[in-house]
Amino acid sequence: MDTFVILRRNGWRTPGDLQEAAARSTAEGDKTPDDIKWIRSYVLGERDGSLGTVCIYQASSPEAIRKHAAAADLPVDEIIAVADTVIVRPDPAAAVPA
Amino acid sequence: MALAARQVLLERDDVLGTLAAALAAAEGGDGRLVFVAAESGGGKSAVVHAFTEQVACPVRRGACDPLSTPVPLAPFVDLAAREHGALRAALTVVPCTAHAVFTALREDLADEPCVLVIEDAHWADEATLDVLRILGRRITTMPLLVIVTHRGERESPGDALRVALGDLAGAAGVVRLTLPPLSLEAVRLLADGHAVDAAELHRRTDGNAFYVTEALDAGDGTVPETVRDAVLARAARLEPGAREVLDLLACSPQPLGPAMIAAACGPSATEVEAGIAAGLLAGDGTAVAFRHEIAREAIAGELQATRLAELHGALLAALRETADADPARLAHHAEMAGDGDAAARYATIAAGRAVAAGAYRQAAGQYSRALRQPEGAGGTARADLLEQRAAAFFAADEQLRSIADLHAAIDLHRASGDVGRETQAIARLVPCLTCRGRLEEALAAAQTAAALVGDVPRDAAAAYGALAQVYLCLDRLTDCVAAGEQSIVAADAAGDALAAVHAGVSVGLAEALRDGSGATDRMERVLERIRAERLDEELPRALNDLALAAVLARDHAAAAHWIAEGITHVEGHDLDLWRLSFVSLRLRSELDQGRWNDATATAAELLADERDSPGPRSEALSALTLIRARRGDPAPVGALDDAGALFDDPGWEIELACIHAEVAWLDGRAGDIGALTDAAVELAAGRESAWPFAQLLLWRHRAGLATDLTGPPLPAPVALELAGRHAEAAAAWEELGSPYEAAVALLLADDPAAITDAHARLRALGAAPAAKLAARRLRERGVRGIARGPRPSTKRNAAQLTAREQSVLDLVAEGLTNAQVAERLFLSPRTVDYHVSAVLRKLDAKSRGEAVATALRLGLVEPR
Repeated sequence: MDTFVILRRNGWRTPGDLQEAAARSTAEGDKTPDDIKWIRSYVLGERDGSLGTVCIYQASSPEAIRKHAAAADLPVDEIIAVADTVIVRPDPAAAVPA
Repeated sequence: MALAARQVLLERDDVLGTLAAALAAAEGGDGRLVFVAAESGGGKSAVVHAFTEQVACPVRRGACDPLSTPVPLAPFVDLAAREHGALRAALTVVPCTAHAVFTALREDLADEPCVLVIEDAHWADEATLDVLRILGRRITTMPLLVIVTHRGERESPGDALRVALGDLAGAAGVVRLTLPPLSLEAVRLLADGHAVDAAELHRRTDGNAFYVTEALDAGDGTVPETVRDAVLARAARLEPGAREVLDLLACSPQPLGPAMIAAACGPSATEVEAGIAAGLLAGDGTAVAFRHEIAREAIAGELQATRLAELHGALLAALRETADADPARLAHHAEMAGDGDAAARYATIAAGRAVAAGAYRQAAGQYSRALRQPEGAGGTARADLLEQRAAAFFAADEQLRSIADLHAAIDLHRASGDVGRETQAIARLVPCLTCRGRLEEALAAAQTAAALVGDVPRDAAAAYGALAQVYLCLDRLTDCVAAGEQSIVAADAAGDALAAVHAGVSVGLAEALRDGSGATDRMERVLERIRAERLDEELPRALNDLALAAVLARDHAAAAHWIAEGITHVEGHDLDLWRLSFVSLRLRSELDQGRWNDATATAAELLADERDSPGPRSEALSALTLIRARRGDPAPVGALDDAGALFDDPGWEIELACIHAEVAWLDGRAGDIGALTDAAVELAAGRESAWPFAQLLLWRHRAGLATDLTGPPLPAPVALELAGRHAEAAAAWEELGSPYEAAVALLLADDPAAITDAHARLRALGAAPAAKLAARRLRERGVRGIARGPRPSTKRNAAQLTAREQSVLDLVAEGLTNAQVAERLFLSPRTVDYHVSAVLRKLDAKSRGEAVATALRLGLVEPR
């Protein structure tokens, strides 16, 4: 599977909404682990007060990502292929408690 | 077989559990087809035997032939030998097709639940695999548990069993199991009480069940180097007489009865017993065989060439005495016995039967056998065999081999001066070449054939028919019609209905494409003739070309109709090769309608197919590339260029240029479009199909290039945009059911209101790059406050009804039936059906009532 970045901008109004979305995402993703694997996400504080995410997924194709998003009712703004991963320092502590 | 009962069955509970569950379902009328795979010696027979021993319902068995060219339908012949019923009756009719076998099985086995075991499917011939396909697709309607064992080794792509497994991948009721090798614990358990190091045993045998038991039974504390050594050690303990029987059986892929053994070796009941006692042979009362194929191969490997020839000769003689010895078996023994004459003779008969049964690869194998006999025929007879083998290869989807054989046959005919045969062979070469996209070669061949034509109408029909077909592929539609008409005249003179109809389809398609309207009257008349005269051979192609005409004319309603008919026919007759073609056409139609989710799913289906089909594969890659580019997803265009490198087809070059142009435009590199399309647009201008030229011209226009090139007449949406009438162009695209193209045409208007409309449509379609271009054009015109806003919900997005669909929905909401709607809107009933399906799909509704309710809720129709 290849690695992709998924941008989901201004997707949710509250952290509660986002948590529910995360649960849906996990539930759907677990059904087809050979097609899609959620690796990690960064939650974005958007300018209009809403929340967005930058997600890292492994997937068999961009279509698998869209299929998963449709099933879990998640927005997809952009899918970008990851050419390489460069880790310089470990992630800072979670900004919003999970 | 006997030994299996002695074995303790270890680590097979999972498999036994799955089989038990499958049987329970089957007993309830919901049948299952379970494939059990393991490496050779992995214990497939043992576990299946253990399972069937303890089931209450009847168990029937058939085994596949371990011959390089097995008897067609061998396991069913095997099965029928022990039964009296419809199957035996069906098999006596020669030829017996896979369908006849299935029907007979259903008759025999559908009354009460039962288990059918088919062993060693890795040796299955194509006809047997066809039966398994048919069974697999209908198993959930039968109270039957079918267990099929096979070697799970990684077969090469295109391997027939692997293709069949791929075809059944999505089928309900089909289960695939794999038996893992024995673990160290299991080996330890088995080795308990033997003076052998269990870890060493496990390492040496890799957990292979057969090897382990052989090694343990050798009983001398050491582990033999190979399985073969283990078997030979066992055999070494036998008396010479018993060894003779073993040698004989090693040459026979089938169990032998006592009469056959006696005929070849003299009376030998005690020797047989010795073999059984030594654990090498097993008998079921009527016949005796090696307990395991590994043992048979080991013994056979020890035989010297002269001894082998002797034994096969003895078997051949004994078989000839029996009533209905299968020619495939006779051919095998004759060849191994060194009797070339007999081998060639039996092989040819066997090949004919294989073709009739649909086992084309096996037929090709038998023809190969006939061809390789040293004192075989030369000249015309050899050419005959080559042409027959070519036909078998073509039907088995091995076009490259077909091409090679036909070239050889053509050379022979040329050498013997037989112009008629040469012409016919060249005519047969042409479709093989066009299948592979080798169009220049195909044209050269067809022209050669046409030049050779003399007075014989039959030959003229073939040659001109081939020429017409090539012209069609080259988009020389006028030439196609001319050649096709000549072929039809000749065919009618020769009374050759097939050739007449074949050419009729070519001409019909050319006419439909030439005026771009997709008018298919002529083709439909040819179709009627095909049906009336039962020329079934030509049916798939006729339906395919009708669908193609509709798809290219962007008449999606008609396309859906013809594709559905086509798929129904090929599935009903299990013509899987044709199925891919229909699915490719469906893909194009889905792409053109902006049904991107459906299209990507269809493209994935095409790419997952195991067959080596260059056409459908490149169609799938094109569609995926385009959709990904339109969505802004990663779209490797390089892969597309690689796929096309194999084609010598200008049509493909043109299509590729179009895709490159659109990708460049979406990327903001409109400046590249000129260079990307210069060659292609010149090419397209000289051809006769309207759309490819029009699309290239459109991209060049959008890139700001001059468009004063003359070529085929431009379809409405393109002509309108070139004239600067964007709103009307968009409406024209909508009429053709293409929402994305409509939105793109609109976004290039000058009027900010139109661009705003386009922007909203593109966002709703998920076409991010084009939406960005629209946003930029709005900003350039001083329009602010675009983009953001509430995210359109996915459910609401779906209701992007075209004007036509909206009118149909309005009338449905008024309570009209489809027939009444058709009358009211002056459409054909089948077009209305198609629009209603589209509406249901877009509103995510399962019925008209649900659709109307949803439409009311979304405000798409007024309440009455």
